[in-house]
Amino acid sequence: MDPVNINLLGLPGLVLLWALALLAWGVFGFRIWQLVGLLRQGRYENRFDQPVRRLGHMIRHVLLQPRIFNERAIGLPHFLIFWGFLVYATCFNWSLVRGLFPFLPVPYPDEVKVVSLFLEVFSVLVLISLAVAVARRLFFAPPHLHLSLDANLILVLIGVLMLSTLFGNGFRIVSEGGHTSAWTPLGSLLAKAFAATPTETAHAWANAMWWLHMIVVLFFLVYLPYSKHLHLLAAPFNVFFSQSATRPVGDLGVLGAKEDLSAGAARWQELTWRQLLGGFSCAECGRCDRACPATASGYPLQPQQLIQKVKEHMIHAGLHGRQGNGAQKLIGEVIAPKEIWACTTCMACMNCCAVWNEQVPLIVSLRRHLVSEGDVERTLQDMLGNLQRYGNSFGKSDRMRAKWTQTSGLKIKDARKEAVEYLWFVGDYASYDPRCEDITKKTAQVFAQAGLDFGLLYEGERNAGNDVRRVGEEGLFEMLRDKNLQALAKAKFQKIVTTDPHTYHTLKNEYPWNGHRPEVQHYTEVLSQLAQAGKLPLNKKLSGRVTYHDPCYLGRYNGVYDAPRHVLHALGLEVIEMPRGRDRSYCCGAGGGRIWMEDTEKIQERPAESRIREAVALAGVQTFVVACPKDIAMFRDAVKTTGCEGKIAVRDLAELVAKATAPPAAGNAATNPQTA
Amino acid sequence: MNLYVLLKMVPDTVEELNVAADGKSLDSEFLRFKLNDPDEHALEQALLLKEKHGGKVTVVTLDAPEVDDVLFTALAKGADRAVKLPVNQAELGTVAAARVLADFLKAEATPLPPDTLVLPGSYAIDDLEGELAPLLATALELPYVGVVCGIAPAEGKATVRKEFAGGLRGEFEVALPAVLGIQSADKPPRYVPVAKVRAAMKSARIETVDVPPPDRPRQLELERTYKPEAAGHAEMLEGSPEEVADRLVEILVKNSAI
Amino acid sequence: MANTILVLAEQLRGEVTDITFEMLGAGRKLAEASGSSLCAVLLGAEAAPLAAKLGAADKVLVADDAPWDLAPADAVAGALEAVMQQTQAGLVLLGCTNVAAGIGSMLAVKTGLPLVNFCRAAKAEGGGVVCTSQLFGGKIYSDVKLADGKGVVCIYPGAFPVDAGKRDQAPPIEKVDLPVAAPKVTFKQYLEPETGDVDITKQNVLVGVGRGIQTQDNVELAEELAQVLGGAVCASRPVIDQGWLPLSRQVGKSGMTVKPRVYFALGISGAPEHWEGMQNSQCIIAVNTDAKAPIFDGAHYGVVGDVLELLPALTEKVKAKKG
Repeated sequence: MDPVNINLLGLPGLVLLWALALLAWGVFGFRIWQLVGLLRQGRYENRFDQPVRRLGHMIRHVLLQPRIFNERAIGLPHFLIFWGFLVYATCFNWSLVRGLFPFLPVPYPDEVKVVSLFLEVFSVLVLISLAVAVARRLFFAPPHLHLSLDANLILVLIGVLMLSTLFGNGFRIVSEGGHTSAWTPLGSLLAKAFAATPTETAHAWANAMWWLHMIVVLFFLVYLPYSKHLHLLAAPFNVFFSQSATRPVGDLGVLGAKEDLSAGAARWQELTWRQLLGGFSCAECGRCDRACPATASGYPLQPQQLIQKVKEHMIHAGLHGRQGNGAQKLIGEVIAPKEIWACTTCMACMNCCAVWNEQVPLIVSLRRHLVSEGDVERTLQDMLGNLQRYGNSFGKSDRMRAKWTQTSGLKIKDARKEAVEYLWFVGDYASYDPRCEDITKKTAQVFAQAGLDFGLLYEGERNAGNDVRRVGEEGLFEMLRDKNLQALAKAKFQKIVTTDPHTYHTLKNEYPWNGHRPEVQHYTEVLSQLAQAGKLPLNKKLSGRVTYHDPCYLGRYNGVYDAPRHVLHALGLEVIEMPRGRDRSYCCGAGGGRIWMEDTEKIQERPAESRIREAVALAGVQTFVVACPKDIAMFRDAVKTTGCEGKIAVRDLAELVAKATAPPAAGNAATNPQTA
Repeated sequence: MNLYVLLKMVPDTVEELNVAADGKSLDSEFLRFKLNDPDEHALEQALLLKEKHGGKVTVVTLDAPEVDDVLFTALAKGADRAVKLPVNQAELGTVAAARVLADFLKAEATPLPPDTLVLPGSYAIDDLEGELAPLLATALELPYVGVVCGIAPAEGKATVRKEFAGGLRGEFEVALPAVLGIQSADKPPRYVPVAKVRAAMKSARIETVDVPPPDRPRQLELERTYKPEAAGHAEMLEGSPEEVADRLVEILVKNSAI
Repeated sequence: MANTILVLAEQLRGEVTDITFEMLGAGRKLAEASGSSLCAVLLGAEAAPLAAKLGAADKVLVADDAPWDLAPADAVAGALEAVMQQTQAGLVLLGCTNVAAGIGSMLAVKTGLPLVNFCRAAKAEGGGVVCTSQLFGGKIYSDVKLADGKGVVCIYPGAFPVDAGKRDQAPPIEKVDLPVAAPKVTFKQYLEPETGDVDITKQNVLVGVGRGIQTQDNVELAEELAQVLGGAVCASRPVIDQGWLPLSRQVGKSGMTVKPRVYFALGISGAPEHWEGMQNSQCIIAVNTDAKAPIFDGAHYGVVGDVLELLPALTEKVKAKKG
């Protein structure tokens, strides 16, 4: 039997199918053409490098979806619905082609036993998954999940597809004489239930189910590119073209740019095509919003909303002709500057985005525009002015950068004058902030005790430019970078060690080095190596429980999670993990230049305060270990503002190492790290 | 409007200032120069006036270290014209500097058009011989108001605000053209990104206008220059914040503040 | 040295300001050392009653035929030039203040005399006067000699003692007629400081914050201390310019002059403009991360350290003390 062989309202089924198929594919094609047209209006960027690596990345993240599984409840259901979609989409097209071209010598897919079994198995899995998905939306919706009618409609349609297949199978079996088959177990079950149905009626029902299935899919085809389920089409491309497939996480460089991008984007057309594609790929799942420290603190930023706003604005302005004078401005009207400034660039959003959207570089593009307009708040402006003039944000003389060395009790080599193995790039906070001075001296002492051959650039060092770049001051970043590279070119060293993870990231991933990239290490990595090599003179055994905070730019950006933990273990400490550990580490709120900005509005709870409360809740933990000078500033502050003094102490990892390596004094036993 | 902003470079006090071997001048080894703070406000005020009322902003400097950067920054911020007078600022006292600048302005147009404002900063940290603004006003025979923190121009005149003390300000009406010593602009000076300054360095030009050098560079002879010795020094409290706080409470009690 | 030393008495809204007494004190010393007479010049429509306060001068010259106190700088300079001719004066002292801004420079040009700005010390020496000027925000001093004792000297407020210029005696008063030119600058009105806020001049305790306070949020920490002490928060110019506190809280040259029992200078480096406004506080406690900050030279007590660490601790201790 052939379901196309019917006559509906005087129209042959074949004509009807052709008409419907042409209409649906036509509308679908037109819409896709429109959307691609929008992308083509974006700025060019080369995301075609290393296609094989990109393909591997895509296969992994589209077919296996590890990031979807980060959220247990919906991980497996989404995975099953996705694979069900693949199976069903294949069979639909097969069915459609077979229906449109009745002369083809192939059976319908459900007539092939294996396929039929496959479809039935998936229909059950998908139906169960749908039940979970609907229940989640109705009863257990996580925050920031966009609860649209759109999503529910799609779930219902998918359910109809599954049911129409099962019932179609059932009625077909009845109409064909009721011969049940192990290849269609559910169809057979249904056939038993409807065994009493007259053959003719069952036949009609079977056909109706086939048509229902086809019509729903064709409707789906039309509806999809107008809905959030566009992600289904766009996401694979989004993943394929994702930056992280071939470049460092959160890279702000744009390959093959044809214009100067340092002035950022004020209009949607000034974003790159890949940034625009992100909007089509967003599934409105809310993962990024749930991970975002700014969102959680009540700042006006929600990364998902930002992506959505760009998408909606682009469609309104680009397709519905809302341009010219009456058009909304992307910055100011669609997206408020305060949203743009709220980001700490902590990478939590991008780290969990299942479609590999790139929120942080998008935000930096928008910031660049604000900076180019001089639309920069006063404190930040002061900092940038200081950095321009003195190369540090503290507004102190560049000659004072290594002033701490004078009271360190050490003679530290000048790498510009004598060769060293490690060039220690100390960074602004560790050099100038009085809160960090003692830690910096201790770090130097530990290095010296371990026999590390190290030296400094002294006043030749400048701020590395990480925050400057993320604030959107690309020109200033380039200036600082060039000055540092000049100074580094004159120094003799083999490797670089940094105190600040932000510096670490930028030196390691954002300086061109002209092919002579030295190995860049964070001090925790160096300490870990020294400990493993037995070079750290551990004179005292520390004891007790501590927790460790993964700095964003060390962990999420560069994947350094184990080195600091190794060091803590080597000291004899027990590391208790916070619930948000490793790549889910919760930002202190300082990154991306936030440390220089004011909180203009009342917020619920600063990120650092949330983090301290998280740590205080851990049983027996009274030491909060950090490995970033900005964390010292942020968390020591938060300990006070949360009233947790006495409950927890913020210690730099280097302080603990210094405590353990201090020359032995009389009668010391195991020492609590708190008294370090 | 026709706006002239006079910019002066002064030693950056963030750097340590030392006296040179002659015992009179500053040691140039660590000396760095930056734009005098009130002058930065004068530039901002001129740019704000231009944005509101139209016109042209000309920035004028004498020759000094790092002055080109400042001129290009001014151009990047929106100044229309940058003029450098090739006379070494370091050798001139304020009186001679005022004479040179007055000569330049006279050469620009005599008399100056009625919509002209000449805007130096209200003072500079090395104004030993007096402030530039009143000296210039005298030389140009123009009206003058100093310590200005707001300007509202109208036909042939301007209403200006002058700071007195204690938050008290006075409103004055002044006939144009005039010389106004700017203390602060209506808004804090704007930020200009490095990329724009670099673009200005590529596309814009600094004009050099020759002026006759002054016959008497300085009015005053310095006897001696030195770093001040502190007359006294505070009693320093040391210890942990808690310990220091305890001592401070005692001091507060002693001074009947608690 | 010249026979007569002139002091331009300064007033604001009918009150003689402290700088006037500082100048009279300084002038008195110079006059005695050189055998000159000290003559105060008091200008203003309603100035006459104020003349009685200027007892430290040998004579007070009053011109009250016009609103001189609000006249433009060139008119005042012209008037002073006339007085100098009448009195044969060669040395004139003026305030290095906003009120007198520009007068000295203009007078110097008119008379061809040298001007010494930012003067914080002056002494007679061999027929001349040696002035010490503070330059570069008070970081450098320069000595300048007026060899014949003639010149215009602008006295930096706060550098000379006020009391030395106060005498309980009625000085001889002489009215003078001075040339009045058609002004090109006319006074329209005073713009009052914002009201409704705390009057920082009437507080026993002031917690002053400077650039070192870093952020607006931290101003709240200072506010908490001020509250437990029953005082108020005030600030140096940079903090006011940031908009973190209203103009009425500014201490210093363009702001208020305050004399509380205790003044905390938190994160204030001690630039002369600020020092000018709070130096007469009974007890000054300075907290700064920079051990070399000039504020420590003048403060009574100093703490080198982080304001943000000290503030909460101190607030707690004060609370505990007060019970």
